[in-house]
Amino acid sequence: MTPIRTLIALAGGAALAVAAPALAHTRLISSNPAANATVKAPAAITLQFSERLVPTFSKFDLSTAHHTVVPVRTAVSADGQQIVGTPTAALAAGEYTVTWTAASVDGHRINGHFNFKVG
Amino acid sequence: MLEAAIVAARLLQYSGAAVLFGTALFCAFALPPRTLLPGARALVASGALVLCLASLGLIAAQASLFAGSFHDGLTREALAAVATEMDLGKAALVRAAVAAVAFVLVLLFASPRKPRWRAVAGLSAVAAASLAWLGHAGASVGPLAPWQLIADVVHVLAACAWIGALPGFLLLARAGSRDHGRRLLHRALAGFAGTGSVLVALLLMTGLANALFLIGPDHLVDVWATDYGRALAAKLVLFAAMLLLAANNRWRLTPALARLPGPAAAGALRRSIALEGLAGIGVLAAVAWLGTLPPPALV
Repeated sequence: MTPIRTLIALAGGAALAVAAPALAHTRLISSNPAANATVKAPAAITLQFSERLVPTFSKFDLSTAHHTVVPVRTAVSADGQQIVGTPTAALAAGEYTVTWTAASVDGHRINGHFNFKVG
Repeated sequence: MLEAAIVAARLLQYSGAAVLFGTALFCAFALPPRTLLPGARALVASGALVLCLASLGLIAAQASLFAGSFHDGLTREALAAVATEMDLGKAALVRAAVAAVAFVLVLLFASPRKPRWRAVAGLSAVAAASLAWLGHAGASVGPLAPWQLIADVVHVLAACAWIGALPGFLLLARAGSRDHGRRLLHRALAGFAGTGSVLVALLLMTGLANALFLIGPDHLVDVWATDYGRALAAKLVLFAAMLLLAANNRWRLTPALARLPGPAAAGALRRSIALEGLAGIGVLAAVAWLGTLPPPALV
């Protein structure tokens, strides 16, 4: 990117930041495995959020397509923006659903779910 | 059920703060000189107690909401997480502590003199201002966030000053002998007119600023179809009712009391002020509900 373009991008970003509603909106930015992705059995499942979370109230459950709960240990990362879950045993091939719930430091409670496939 | 507990804890905090800060402010500045107001101490002390307990109650209710149930929320871990890691919890803890100090201070009054009321009013201003962190402004980010918080603090303080003055006037209407009480009431009401206008102006300006922040120019039309819009509409209607009653008090009933200081004029004023107070509680209830709804700018 040329310096001029960088400047324009920065100025545009700054203008957006000023014009945007001044409200924090905690949300799930991305996950690994990604939603609807087909992957090899992951050692860890990571959910990346836009704001700092309160560890006590932020976790997720993992279940199979047959609604069987799969044991998983979750923890919030040091920077507070990730929930990392480690399945206690390797995941077998099949569909999985991650059902997450999180509370942000600024007092919002959010939740959601997504699927991925091990194959 | 959990949501209802949170709305209740919020309403109790707003009401407690209005009585603690607003009525103390009334005693410090709006009361005619050398006037003792029987009942003011008990009233302000109860406001402090309600504010203190409701602030602690809010921490418990929020912990239950975040944990999913009262059973999981009323644990040491969940309560500590809200009180030490979340801004609204920290603010509630500060508020509870300040309200507790104000409670003791009010109870220790041997004679309720004005300098002491000023101290109580100053202290409780901190507790009332911290209510801004209970609302959506507390969750703001970005370059405008500090301005939004300042607007919210001014809004909360002005609202508490207005609503909390109403029980002060009602107590004054009963103070002393009947004739004396009516004269005092008239003096205090006439003296409050300027303050009242300033409070209304502040409320309108900061309210408008908050509405712009929380609704956003893009949602001015569609907001009224949402729960947020309905709660806001209820608040605005009740606010308008308060304004009409206040205007009627100021331009009709107060001059009438001066012309003919009899029981009829005083009774009309008392009823009108009580009605204004009820509308004020309605406004606080609408605000308690509003804080739990997502504002359109966030959705």
